[in-house]
Amino acid sequence: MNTIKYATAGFATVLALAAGGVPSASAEELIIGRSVSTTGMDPGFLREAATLVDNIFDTLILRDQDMQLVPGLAVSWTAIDDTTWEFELREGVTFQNGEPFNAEAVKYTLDRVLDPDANAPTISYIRTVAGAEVVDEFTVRVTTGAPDPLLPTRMSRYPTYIVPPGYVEEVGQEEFARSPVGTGPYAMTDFAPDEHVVMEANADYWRGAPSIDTVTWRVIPEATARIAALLSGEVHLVESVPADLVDLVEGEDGVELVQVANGGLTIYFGLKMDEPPLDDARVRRALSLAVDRAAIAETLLRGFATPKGTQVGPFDFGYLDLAPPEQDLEQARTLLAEAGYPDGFEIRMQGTRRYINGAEVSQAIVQQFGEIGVQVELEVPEWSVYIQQVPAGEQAPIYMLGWGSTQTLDADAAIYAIFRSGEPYSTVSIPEMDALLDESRQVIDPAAREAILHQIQELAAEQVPVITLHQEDSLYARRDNVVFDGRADARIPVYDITLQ
Amino acid sequence: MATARRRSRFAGDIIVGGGLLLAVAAMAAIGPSLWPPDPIAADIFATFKAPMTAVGDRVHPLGTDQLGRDLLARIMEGTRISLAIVLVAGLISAVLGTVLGLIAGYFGGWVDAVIMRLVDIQLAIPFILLILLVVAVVGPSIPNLILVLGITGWAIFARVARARTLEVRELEYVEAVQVLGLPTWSILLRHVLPNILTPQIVLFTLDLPRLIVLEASVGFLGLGVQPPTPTLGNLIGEGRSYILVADWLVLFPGLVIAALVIGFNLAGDWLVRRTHVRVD
Amino acid sequence: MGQYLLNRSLQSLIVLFGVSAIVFYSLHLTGDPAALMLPPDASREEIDRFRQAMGFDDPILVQHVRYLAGVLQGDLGTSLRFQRPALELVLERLPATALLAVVAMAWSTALGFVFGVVGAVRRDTAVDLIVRVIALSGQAVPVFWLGLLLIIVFALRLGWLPTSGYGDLEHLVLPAITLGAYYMSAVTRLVRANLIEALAQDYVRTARAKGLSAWRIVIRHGLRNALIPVVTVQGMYFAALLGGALITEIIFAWPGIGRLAVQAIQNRDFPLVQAVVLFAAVVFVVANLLVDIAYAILNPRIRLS
Repeated sequence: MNTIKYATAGFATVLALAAGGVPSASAEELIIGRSVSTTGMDPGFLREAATLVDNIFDTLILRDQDMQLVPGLAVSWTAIDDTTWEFELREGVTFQNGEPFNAEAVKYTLDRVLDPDANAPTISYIRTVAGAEVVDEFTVRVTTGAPDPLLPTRMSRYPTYIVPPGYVEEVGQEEFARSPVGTGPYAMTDFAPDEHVVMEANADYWRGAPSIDTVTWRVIPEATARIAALLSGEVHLVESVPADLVDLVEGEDGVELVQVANGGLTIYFGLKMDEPPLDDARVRRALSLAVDRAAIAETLLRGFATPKGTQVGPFDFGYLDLAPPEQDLEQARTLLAEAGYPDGFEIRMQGTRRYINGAEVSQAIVQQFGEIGVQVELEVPEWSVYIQQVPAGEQAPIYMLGWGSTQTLDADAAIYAIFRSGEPYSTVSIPEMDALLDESRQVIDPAAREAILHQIQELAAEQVPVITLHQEDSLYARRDNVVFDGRADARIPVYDITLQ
Repeated sequence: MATARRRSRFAGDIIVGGGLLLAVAAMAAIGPSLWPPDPIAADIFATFKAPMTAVGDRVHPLGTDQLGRDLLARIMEGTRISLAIVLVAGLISAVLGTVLGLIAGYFGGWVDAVIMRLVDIQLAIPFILLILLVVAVVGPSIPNLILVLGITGWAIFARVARARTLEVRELEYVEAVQVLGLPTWSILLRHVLPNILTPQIVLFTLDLPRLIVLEASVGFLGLGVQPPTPTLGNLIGEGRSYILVADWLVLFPGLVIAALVIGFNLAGDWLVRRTHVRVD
Repeated sequence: MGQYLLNRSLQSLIVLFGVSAIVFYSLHLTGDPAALMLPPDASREEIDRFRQAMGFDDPILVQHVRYLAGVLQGDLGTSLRFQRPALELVLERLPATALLAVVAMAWSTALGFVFGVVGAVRRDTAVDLIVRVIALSGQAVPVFWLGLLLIIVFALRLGWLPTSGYGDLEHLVLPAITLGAYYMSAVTRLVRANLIEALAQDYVRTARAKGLSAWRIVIRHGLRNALIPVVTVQGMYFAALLGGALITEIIFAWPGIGRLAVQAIQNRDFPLVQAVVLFAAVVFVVANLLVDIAYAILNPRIRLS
């Protein structure tokens, strides 16, 4: 139980030369091109994706390549009652500054985020946790306010990356975000904001020393420049490859596309159900039937998205394989007529460029709605304004959003926040749905919970609280000597990457 | 400050500049009636067709875009809309700036001080940041874009108008009509304004290229006119994402922008020479 | 002179206050960024608690006074996103942007001078026209268009220079060309116009009558007169570049103030947006003040009033 086998190809240290003689990665160095900047690396106070801190810190529980929960800094865990979980910790682990890892560190990590005065932005991920208690140096108990079936999952993601209490107290929170110290495979050595972050291998890492010595994370916001940097060999791996540039990557020698099917967000159009005409389920179903999901995914998204019949992702616990509705304009028109709109209606809609070809997808759907007589006025607002309108209820009656569950790989993350009435990002109000959602958060037994989650998805397919479109793939591109297949949870664990 | 200069017969700049402007204007004005494809309707099965590709029985001379729309039709429509936007925005700048500059220069004192501080405030905010801020806040639409672009340009007009007004005010005949007791608005409108109008017109011509490029920058940042409506800025701003796979999407709108910018500048130079004004 | 400086400084303060007020209200009157700062599964209560903790639920006047009080003590607030003092973040990005701006202005001024002089000396000829069209093409292509083109040609196809990034001299070349192109056009226009003006003055005509060659006249008499307005405008351009180089910085992944500004606006990081704009305004105001003083010293005919 407490030994995990990790395939590390640490022997592959042969220099690989890319075609054309462009400078390529030696076995020691990896340069990764990202689309977004890093502002800070304090896992408890993170306001961005955890891609970098994933490599510096460890959680009590890890997720392996197959997305199974496996021991991390904890060697085992058990629920001793409905609301108490006991973790037995790994001994002999030290932080990169030499500080010992122990139960105190776990308690400190959780307390720091749970402290109401700290206003931790990440608190919602562990909001069910009531507190942590040190039993002995290597045993810790975590209690929850109510039964929480997702607790082990919560302990596998930031903000539960374990931080060194002594160091954090010594340097303060602001400095910690700039020079983080964890137990992870890499230690940060240089941070130039908006430019790069450099990490060096932690030779004393408890899972064994990493095979890649130095990782440099460069920020290249403009997609064309990012791909150009990969093609020219300046970087060895890039994230966020636009679907439209895939041909370019595939046509070039020395670079490969990495496609993680269903690795991205599930895109949908939210519907304001509290006002006509969208309060009528027939109208919602008609709109959903007007959309040609297959054509959009195949053409506009170039096949790098899967049409979906449910908001839940196939890797999620509780996934129900519902077929995406086929376009049926005849039935859509009939439904509209039944609902009292034989000639359609006019309505406002908001799309966003945030998602893959989001503006283009929106325009195509406007046209498809037009075919059943629904005249749409489209707006594509700036993201920062839009994302503030949505939780404030100021968005258009039909609005585009993407929702993901890579944080937890559980259906709960994919549906609760957007289906439960009263949640900031939900415009759904179906009492039966609310009851099922509430129940799903209290049932510990996995089988019973799964049944409830399936029921919710069936209800959604019938009531159409949102128009589910497709789930995006996540696309990376790599030089062909970099061994990396991508992960369903969107991490880039350099520890598992090798160079040939 | 009109300075005596030898009359030049050189007409190269107005021939080239005027020619470019006329060509673009003609395309925008009569193009859509000669070229039937719909610039809005998407055909998602015909995306990214290279120039001169036929889809069905329709040839796309400049190719199609990311939604399978005919690029030529979109450029024609986009040029029309962009020209309308920059002309109205430029007019707003010019009228607002001239009126405020006139008032500041004529009345002087605290009125002048207040207006000139407004000018300074306006100039002190980098205008691309201002646009980003305002459009993000008020939302993107054609009227908002026109207003924002208009607001970024008035300060220069005000400065020039004020300087000219100060000179004109000292002219003997203006002092004479003041003594005659004509109402102030009448003096401003009938005696001062005509005297300061020429440099403002020249300035207007030279401000248009700035606005055209600015509209493109707004398109780059995705804050421009709402899709599917094309503008030159939107076309090139959206097209730049595909520059590595479909370079015609940025090449052709880019050529139109270049023609307009060079055309307006050369025409402006010619005007400067014809009217003997300084506008720097 | 002392009185003048006092007056101008007072005016500058008013301008800075105006700038900060405009930015403050246009940000705050359109909603606050609490929801944007939290993960998407945050509940309404969590958003409200965060909003309260950040002081966003106070009346806007109270917030403005609090902000001004901070500014007077040199505290421009703490970035919501970075959790660090906003001014510190701006100053941290200053060297990168200043380096880019200086190099861009240097080459564009030099080339603009050459084009401008050639245009003025051969004015109203085909040579003049060609030079102007070449110079104008710097203005005629949108910045991002030029930037991407340079990356594709010089970095991707030819492999001479890196595609983007910051560090060595070779990283500087493409962004500096991109950023300077627009200003090269402007300088050409300015030099040409002023030189033509200067060459029409009586004393220049006299010199010409004496038989001095056209080039010597230009160098002796014309350039000095053309220099002053160029210097005046350079001060303003430089200030504008510090905050306005954002598109170039995005394309070339240049870690400067412009990119900081865009991110701040996109994240609705209010204190940071305010700090960037205020900083750009201060540079602008100070640059203008210095230029005016320099102008007065260079040209004694102009009285400071």
